[in-house]
Amino acid sequence: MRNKGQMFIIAAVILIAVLIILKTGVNLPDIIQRNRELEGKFEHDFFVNIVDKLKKTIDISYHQPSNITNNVYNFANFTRKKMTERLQDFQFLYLSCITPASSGSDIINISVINLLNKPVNLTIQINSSPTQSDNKDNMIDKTKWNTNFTITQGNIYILTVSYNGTYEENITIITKVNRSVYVGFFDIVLAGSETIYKDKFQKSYTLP
Amino acid sequence: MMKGLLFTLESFIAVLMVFFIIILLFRNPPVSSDYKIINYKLKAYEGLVTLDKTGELRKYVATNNVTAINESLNSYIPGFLNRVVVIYDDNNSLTEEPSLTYANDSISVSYFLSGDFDDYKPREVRVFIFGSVTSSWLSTTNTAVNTTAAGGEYSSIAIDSNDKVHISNFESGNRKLTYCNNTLGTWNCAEPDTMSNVGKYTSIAIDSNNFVHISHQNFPSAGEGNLRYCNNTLGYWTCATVDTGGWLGWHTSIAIDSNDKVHISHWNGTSGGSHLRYCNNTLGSWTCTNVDGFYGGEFSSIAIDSNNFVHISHYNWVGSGLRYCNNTLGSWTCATVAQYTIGIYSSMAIDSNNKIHISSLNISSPSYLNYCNNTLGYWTCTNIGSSEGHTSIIIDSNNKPHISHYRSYVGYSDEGYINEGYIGYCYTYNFSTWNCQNVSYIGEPSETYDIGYGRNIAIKKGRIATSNSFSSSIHISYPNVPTYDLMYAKISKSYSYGKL
Repeated sequence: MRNKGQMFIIAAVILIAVLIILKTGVNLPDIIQRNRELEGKFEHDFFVNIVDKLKKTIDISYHQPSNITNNVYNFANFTRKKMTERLQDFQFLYLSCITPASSGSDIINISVINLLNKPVNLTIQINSSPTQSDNKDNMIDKTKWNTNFTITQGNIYILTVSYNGTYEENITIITKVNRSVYVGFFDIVLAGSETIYKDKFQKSYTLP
Repeated sequence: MMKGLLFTLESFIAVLMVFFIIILLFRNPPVSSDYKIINYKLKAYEGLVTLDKTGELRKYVATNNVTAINESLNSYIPGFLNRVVVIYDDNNSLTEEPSLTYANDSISVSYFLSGDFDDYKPREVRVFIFGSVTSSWLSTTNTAVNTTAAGGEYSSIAIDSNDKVHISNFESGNRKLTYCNNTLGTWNCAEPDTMSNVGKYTSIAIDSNNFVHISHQNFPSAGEGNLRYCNNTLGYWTCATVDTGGWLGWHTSIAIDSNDKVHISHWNGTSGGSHLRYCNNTLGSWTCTNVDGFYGGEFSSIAIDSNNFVHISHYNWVGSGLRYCNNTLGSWTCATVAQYTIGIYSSMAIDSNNKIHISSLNISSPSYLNYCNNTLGYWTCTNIGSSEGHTSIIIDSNNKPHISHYRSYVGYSDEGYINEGYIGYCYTYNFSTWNCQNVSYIGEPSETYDIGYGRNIAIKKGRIATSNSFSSSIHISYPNVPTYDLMYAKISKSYSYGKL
């Protein structure tokens, strides 16, 4: 063997290549996992941004309660449009309840926004005595629907919203005598690349 | 003996190689480049959240101030990366988008804002991050706009908020003022002023409602001239004579303030009464006054700063040279910027810091395109390159100047006597190196017609992104030769992108 020394160098190069491949291979699952975690954090942060700004919409609309539903609709529809551009699915159901301040006209005005990407058969029911309910069949996507019920100011009510027999949510409404009260219910779903992010929350204000 | 030594050496090298690679592998384990990219996104998002918490983001978005948003991200995104901030409403981008495609190695981060923009309209702030960019002003398109009766003289150009181009010009064959725009997608021209012998020295400006305002000269007879002004604010053209009493209306320059009031500078060229004139309608009707001393006023150029103060550059051919006046102290004050040879064809623009930038011709031999500014608190001037004048200057949102001018090559070459004219264009990113190029060959110039003194370069105000890498197109109007058709050139950048 005339070139024993060169053989050592060739063997070293092969060994180095094997080491690099092994090392990368060993790290690959960690890299993918870590990357997923970071992507997930980014998507979660983004989802938090949307939820925060929906809440902000209500805060900003405080002095113009009659515009709350429109403002929420504008922001949610805007968000969904932008999400669709990113091929991400955004679903949103919103229900607002406002009791006017004046006594004698004890009603509660209900507004519903459907941004669920599908038509729904919607039912709203309030546990007044007697129980009242209203329904909207085939409420198509990107629409608003209004209804109202008779109440007695100062009482606490449970409003039940359900659709398609698969969804039901109870919302507690604490009314006040001679005061206008707003209760908003938000159900948000954002489908990320790996995770589906969901949030449900309620905001209540005594209006000016 | 020798073989044995070589064998030992080669074996030693092989062992060293393995040893170093093992150390390198375990000291610096391979890391996915995706980590790096997702971290850029997280940091950019963190920067936007922090800015939002201070309340500044909402303020910047309300005023489409992408520069301020971009600057606030300096400490979050490495400086070697390029980034562009774009604000979107429901349907459109409100600031300029970068010319990125999905093929480019870039990422973007979005942040939504709700409430109190134009009656609760939401906004999206999107930060584009990408690698190094090399760009150059290369792609030029030239279009014939008005081929009627030598319609390309004294053209002036402006861009409205919808990126549509408006040009006023003089049809010397008909002695008419002409106005052309491409608001409907194709070029259409009209005659705003029905008076005869009008349209020289036009200057055009667009107000906040995208209405068009044009100043120009009525020249009824030799030695007599009047300042004319037209607008279409009522949906149709109305014109009026604004200043009379001599040989007025030369080299008009028009500007609109933040209240949509109109300001015009022009030259009274009456023999023995030469003066810079300034007119405005801020009080509802037109008032005009002399500014600066005798013999001044030629090649005037006017601009309004952010406080609605008026600034005018002009040329005084009796000893002074390039002059600059403003009314920032409540009355007019004037000073000489540069001596005698500098100042012909002056054109002025104001940057976002209310600093003044002036281009003009230095008639030294050979003649040069000259550029002056007072950004350091005093005037500095520099010769940029060979020129025959007809300069026009604009400032982009990076406060960088762009200048169009006329160049010619006259003399003998290998091919014999040449007399060629070009529209030239120069820009700088650093105020020390100027990049100049010929935009269009305009043929052999003649003495019969003139290119004009108007503002014939334009860029959409405030639509250039903060990075040097991106900019709106540059728009230039000019006459062709020998027909003197009105031509329009659009210069766009070409880009190549590096990796993140």
